[in-house]
Amino acid sequence: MRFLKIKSNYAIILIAVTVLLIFLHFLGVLSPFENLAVKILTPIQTRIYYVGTIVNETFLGSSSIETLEQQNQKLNKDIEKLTLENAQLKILENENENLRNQLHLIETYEKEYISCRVITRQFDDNANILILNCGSAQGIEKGMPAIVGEGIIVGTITDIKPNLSSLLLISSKTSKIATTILNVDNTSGIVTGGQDMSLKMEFIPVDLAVGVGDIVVTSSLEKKIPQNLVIGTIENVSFPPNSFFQTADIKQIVNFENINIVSIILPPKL
Amino acid sequence: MIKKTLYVLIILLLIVSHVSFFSMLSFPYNNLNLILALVIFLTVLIDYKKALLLSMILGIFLEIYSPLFFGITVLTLLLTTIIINLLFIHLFTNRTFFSLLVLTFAGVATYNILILLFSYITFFFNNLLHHMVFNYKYVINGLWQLVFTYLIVIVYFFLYTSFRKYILNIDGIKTA
Repeated sequence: MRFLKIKSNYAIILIAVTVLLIFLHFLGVLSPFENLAVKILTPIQTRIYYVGTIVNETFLGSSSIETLEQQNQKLNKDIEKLTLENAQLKILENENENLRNQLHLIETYEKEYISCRVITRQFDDNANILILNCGSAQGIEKGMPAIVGEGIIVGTITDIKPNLSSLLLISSKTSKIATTILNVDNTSGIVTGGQDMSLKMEFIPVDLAVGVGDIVVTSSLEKKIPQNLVIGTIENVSFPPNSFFQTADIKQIVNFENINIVSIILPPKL
Repeated sequence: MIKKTLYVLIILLLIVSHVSFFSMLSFPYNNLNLILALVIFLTVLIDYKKALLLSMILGIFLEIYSPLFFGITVLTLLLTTIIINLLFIHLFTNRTFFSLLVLTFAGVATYNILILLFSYITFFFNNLLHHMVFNYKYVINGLWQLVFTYLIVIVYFFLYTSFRKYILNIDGIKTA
């Protein structure tokens, strides 16, 4: 019995110490130690995460040869379609540049970015979160958008520590991004996460026409998110019964499971 | 000194591999929880006090990288260790493979129930963007976690029985 008592005392002491440590964390007393641990472990973690990505793609990928062939054929068709679109867009770009010059509307700032590496992630049914190796010390703030490639938005910063930050992917059910469809009406809506890391656009007015293949971009409604960051293209549109709004499934451009590096867009310096 | 350095290196290796390697694998491999398996194994077969201390240290490190409310992981690990030990004391008389298997099930179930419970409590008070949700996917993930924990615990068990003398010598535990 005495032995049991000693052991339970030990457990109580450890729980008390843990509660104290949690309390000290919220007071910020533990920050220097946490930062030190992050600084020591992050270089190793980024490499291990990268190895994990390779293992995932090489050994645990579910793509069969048939699926890859089908994907390849589909991608070739997409390339043809995009080349045509690209040519049309270049014509429009030239026209746009001429008009800007004429109206003296040259932008006075350029976007600034910070590149961050992913060190871990937590994907569950409700939220898909990436933990990044940069935080408030690098100038990152809550609500800033993260992009990959030339300007494909993947999420927003939801939590920051001095050298770490949490990126909530747009495929999360808890993520809501104000968006616009690049069509005649510039239809607006909200993009949120659907089942199995899919994307859907909600609150599209029922009287506006939305076409399959239309490009969805961010709107100018959110303070820290620049306009025209690409989200994806409309895959299909549904009309829920007894609703004033339509819902569209969005075909995503990025595979959220294999993101290693993201760029955080900093607010413009005027 | 060598012993302590070895412990620190093992702890760091566990944290780094759990946080950055296993968590990024695709389903169902992302349910592999090396740390929970080690804590259960230590509690049942080696030393409860060491298991408690390890739960606290590993838990605190995991908190740094966890998107959940700070404290949930470490408290869950500690309480899981305590509950496994209580079950072990009251239900089993000796340390056997069978008791390890039963308590592994109890440990995984306790861990998942507690983390969900704490997650709901913190969500209620903080309205966080990230919290666990109980649905069929959570149950499926829990079942996969059980399968992988069984596999790891069995590997630990055979490694332990094969290299018992060496491990106990490093550890300074006296054999009966």
